[in-house]
Amino acid sequence: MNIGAYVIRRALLMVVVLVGTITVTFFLSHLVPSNPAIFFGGQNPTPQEIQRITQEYGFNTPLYNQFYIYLRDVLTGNLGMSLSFQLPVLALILEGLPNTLTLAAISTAIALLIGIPLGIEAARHAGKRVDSLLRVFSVGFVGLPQFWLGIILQLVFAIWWGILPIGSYGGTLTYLSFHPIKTITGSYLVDALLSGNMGGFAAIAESMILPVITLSLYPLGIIVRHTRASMLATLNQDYVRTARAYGIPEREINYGLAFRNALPPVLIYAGLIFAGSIIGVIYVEDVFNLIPGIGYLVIYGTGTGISSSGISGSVDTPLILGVAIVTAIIYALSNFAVDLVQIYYDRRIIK
Amino acid sequence: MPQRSISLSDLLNTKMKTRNGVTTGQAALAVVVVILLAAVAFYAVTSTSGSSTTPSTSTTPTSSSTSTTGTTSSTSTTSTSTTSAQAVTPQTIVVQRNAWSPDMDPRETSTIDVVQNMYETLTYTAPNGTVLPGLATSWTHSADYITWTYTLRQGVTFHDGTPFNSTAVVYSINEIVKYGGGDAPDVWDTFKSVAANGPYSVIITNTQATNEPVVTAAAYAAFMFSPNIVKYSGAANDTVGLHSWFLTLHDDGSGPYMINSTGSSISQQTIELSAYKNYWGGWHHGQITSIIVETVSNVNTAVQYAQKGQLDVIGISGQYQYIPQLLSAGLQVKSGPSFSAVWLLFNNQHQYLNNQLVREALLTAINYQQVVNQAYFGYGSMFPGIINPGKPFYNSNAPTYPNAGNKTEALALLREAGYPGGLNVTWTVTYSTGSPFLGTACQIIQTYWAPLKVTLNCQGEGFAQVTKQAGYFNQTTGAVFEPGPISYASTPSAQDIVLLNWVGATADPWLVPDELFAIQGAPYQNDILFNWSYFRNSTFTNLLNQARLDESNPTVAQAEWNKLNLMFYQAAPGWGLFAENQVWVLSPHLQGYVPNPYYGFDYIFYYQLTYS
Repeated sequence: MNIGAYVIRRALLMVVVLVGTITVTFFLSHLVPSNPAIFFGGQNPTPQEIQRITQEYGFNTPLYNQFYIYLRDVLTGNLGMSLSFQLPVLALILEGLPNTLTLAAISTAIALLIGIPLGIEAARHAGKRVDSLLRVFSVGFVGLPQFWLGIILQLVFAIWWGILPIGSYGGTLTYLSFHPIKTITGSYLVDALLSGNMGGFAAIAESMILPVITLSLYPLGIIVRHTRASMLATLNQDYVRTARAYGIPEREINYGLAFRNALPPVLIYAGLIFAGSIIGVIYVEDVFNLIPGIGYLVIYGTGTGISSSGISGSVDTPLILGVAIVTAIIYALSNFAVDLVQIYYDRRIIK
Repeated sequence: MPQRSISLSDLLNTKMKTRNGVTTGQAALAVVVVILLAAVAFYAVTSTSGSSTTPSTSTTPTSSSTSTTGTTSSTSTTSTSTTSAQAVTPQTIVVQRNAWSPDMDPRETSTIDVVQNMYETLTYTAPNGTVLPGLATSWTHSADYITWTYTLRQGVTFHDGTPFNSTAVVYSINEIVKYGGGDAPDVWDTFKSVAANGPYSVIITNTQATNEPVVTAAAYAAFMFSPNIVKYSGAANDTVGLHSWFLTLHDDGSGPYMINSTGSSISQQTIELSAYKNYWGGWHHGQITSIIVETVSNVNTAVQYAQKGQLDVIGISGQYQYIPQLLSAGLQVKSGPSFSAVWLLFNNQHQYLNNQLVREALLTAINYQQVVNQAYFGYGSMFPGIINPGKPFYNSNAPTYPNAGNKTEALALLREAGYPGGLNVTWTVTYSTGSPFLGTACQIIQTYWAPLKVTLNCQGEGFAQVTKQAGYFNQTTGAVFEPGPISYASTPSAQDIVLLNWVGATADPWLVPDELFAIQGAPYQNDILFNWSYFRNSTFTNLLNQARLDESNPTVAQAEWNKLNLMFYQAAPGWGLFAENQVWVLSPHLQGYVPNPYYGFDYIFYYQLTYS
């Protein structure tokens, strides 16, 4: 198989995965007992009121019919209207996505930049004190729940020591109201940089330190563990021994020869970690009050942010489906990108 | 395969590629590292200036003497301000909302914590229940209480300058009823027509005797707005188009505050209100001129912001464990009675629970005081009878169960019911996880029912799931909040007991008992709606409806309510565990908050506050 055929095959597979995801999420979301009509009914809506809304918005048509309409709309870029925000889902997602992707990208980059060298060092010193120490930390990072970690970091750095903001882009709740940032990409951090607003860039970067640490520790632990394992497997290969016999410097063997062959499995995780960060962001954006973002949409979409009185609360199906589809696209694209990078490193996988 | 052997040429070839690859990778990594280092270095250099650009909020009393009665002109500049010194005055406060809602539609919105500051009603209910003049200065009624004539306040204008008059009232009420959203059907259920009676007088006619000043003072769906909104929205005769206009953060009320569209942002989930300079009530020194409503859904985070002085008002949604730390941070914790209460509803159709003596025994065993203290941190109070304390016809002398519980008496009642050795039963208790304190309440009740040989399975679920288990769902489609048949109640699928955090849409004492304990009117008489006790006593229901009709005759109505309280106590289909207090956490600078249970969950009228 040549590269072109392989890439096309992977791309088609991606489309199948996306259609499958849309189908599964649509039907799963309709298993949850919920009537979106109550969103429109205010507090303690009357049955007549709910019935009127149900008919008006077509919630009472058969499920397969609703699915057909939904699929047709999705393919034309229409993800429907959010019931809780009463705005188009696509607009909401596009508004939140740049900031969320920025968080996820920085967190993944940090996890890779720190995790890979640490993993290599752990493998080089396998069984020694450095390895044990790194194992303790990496396992510890993997074991820390992100929502808990975020709260603890907030408590220590923002409340006790007061050296970093509690949250919100810009560091205070009203920062962006008084220091608007010109919209270019939709990501506050990137836009501040691109528009030369260095004061804004500094304030937003500062407010993202704790969220990024919270998001990156878990993937950092994963990367360290997988780089170590992958490197160890490679370092035990015959060709490494042969390379040593040829007198190739140890550093070049570790960081060049062995690392190159150890990298593909790590890259697979890197792609998944980046996509997975979109999910981790849900907690992080909630705890650090980072608005707008995909995490906030999920919080509201699942009804958890609506039940302030404990009385109302329902699932915002279009919003949840929209977020699920976008997350699936990000997963699929990440995997696709990983596939391409893997080809670059190892042509054998296309055979 | 990993074990594949490698030749020297392969090795050299690989090595060469590796070098190339690493060189490229290193270059990429180097770029990233350089960018990051540059950013860090830049941050280190600019961090001082960066922090100095952070705006001061109300907790930073800058130039406190600059603004006096000229509040309105100063707020009008707020929206265009770009620097903190000009934008934030001591009269600006930042308040928390735990969920974003852009619904500013006065016809149906439940976001009244914001909207009640922009719109006004014809009448206003004071915290003690007295109905006071609002946009109407006086009112009279016909002998049969069906027709009401209101005299309107003169000199009032809407935010666009349009005068408030009878045209506006007729338009507003007709528009609310026509749109029929939210609580409008409940609030205006006896409404027939409204007509102008001169420029400053209107006549409202009902289908039956109605206490109209209570209706026009409703917290929801009774706001007056300018007839000009159709012009601005471009949605003449299009109620849905009008709704969209409100959803994009527009308003045209007559209240003290108006939406500042420049400072508000849907994407940042921020709403900014600024003072309306021509407000008929006038302005005085110290009043709040600008309110920034910020969405912070995480209560813990909101608490941290409040402690740091970034939030001036937060509501902590029953999570009162934060109160000690908020108090120690110097914040004010204001607590007031609300009309929300926690109700325990027995499934009156299930075995044992269909026995009145068993239900009485169970209610006698509970230590209500401990439930309040542990589950709700003491921010609640027990109440006798079926009416929430503070509502009309509430009677503090109504019969009730012992606050601390009485195990001996409970066991005696069980013996009388024919269960001398206890019940030896396990029951499922459902509650909404939206009110996590109900789970604690369930655990406490479990300890007091253990001597009666009752085990509880406390089951927290989403409210929709609680609703479904209670049978308020369509048996064909499965959709919840659609009437289900009453026969479901006696099936094992129905819960045995439900704990419910409940507030009525209006202050009418009839509403909550009707929803929770009455047989519904046609066509729902054989259906399950919110009566999850499945109590079906037609004598009780008829008397309840009669008491509503007799509200305009207090002596008769009170006697009927007293009888209803006794019936409720004896039949014990369920019980109010405690009435909840609403708790607000306020900045130490804010004064003047008076809890008013008639307005949602004691929502704050910001006009009443002063900043010191």
